Amino acid sequence: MTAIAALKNALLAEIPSLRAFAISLSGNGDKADDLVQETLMKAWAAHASFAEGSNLRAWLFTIMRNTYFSQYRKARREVQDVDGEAAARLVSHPEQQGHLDLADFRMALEQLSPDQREALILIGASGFSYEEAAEICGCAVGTVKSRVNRARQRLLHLLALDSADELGPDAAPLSGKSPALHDN
Amino acid sequence: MSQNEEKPLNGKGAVKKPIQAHLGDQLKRYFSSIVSEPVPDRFASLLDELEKRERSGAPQSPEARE
Repeated sequence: MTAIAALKNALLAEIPSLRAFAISLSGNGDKADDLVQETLMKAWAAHASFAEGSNLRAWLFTIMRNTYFSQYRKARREVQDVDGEAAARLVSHPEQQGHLDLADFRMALEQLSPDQREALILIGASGFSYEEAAEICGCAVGTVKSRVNRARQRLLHLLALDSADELGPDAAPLSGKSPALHDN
Repeated sequence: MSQNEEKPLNGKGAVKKPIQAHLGDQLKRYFSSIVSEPVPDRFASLLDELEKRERSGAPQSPEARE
């Protein structure tokens, strides 16, 4: 097999993981697939800089998150109203503790800040170590740890899995637009 | 080296272990549900295209968008 064919096969094999990371980051199907495409193109163009024998997935995830966050910073000022909408749907059934479906979970995940969500996905879902995640994110290990912790706390809060009496009104986690929980 | 593991979590601002495990399961289910989705054809086509260009010696960074 030629080097080019090997590269192509290696990239093909990573596409499902890349999509999952892209969707986790950007939350939107079309945007996510654009992100995958851009990552593949950049990886292809830069493959000479990939150190043989190192972790291809980590390298690809690094390219992807850098691409995503540079776009995110650009688009940041475009205010989205999706938050309030998703929040409204999310809190419509706080009674179903313990067996949330994936749609609820996904919506809660989307409420996290991008850097918290990224850290949580890398550690909790993609199976990277804290050290690897820190390298991918270009930050300190301690930063990854604290992002993961804050992400977990926020998720539990959003999913109403933490104890109800800890949810004071000023702890309302969702965009301030709508109350996070039923008050009746 | 760093023994700076996450603190055992209880009390304010902490996530209890069983709940954390539950959350971890949800997270893995979420992620693997996406991983196991069928992959859109566009990516295989893109890689075919990149391979073709590379073989024909064309410059890299094709404008593969739309």
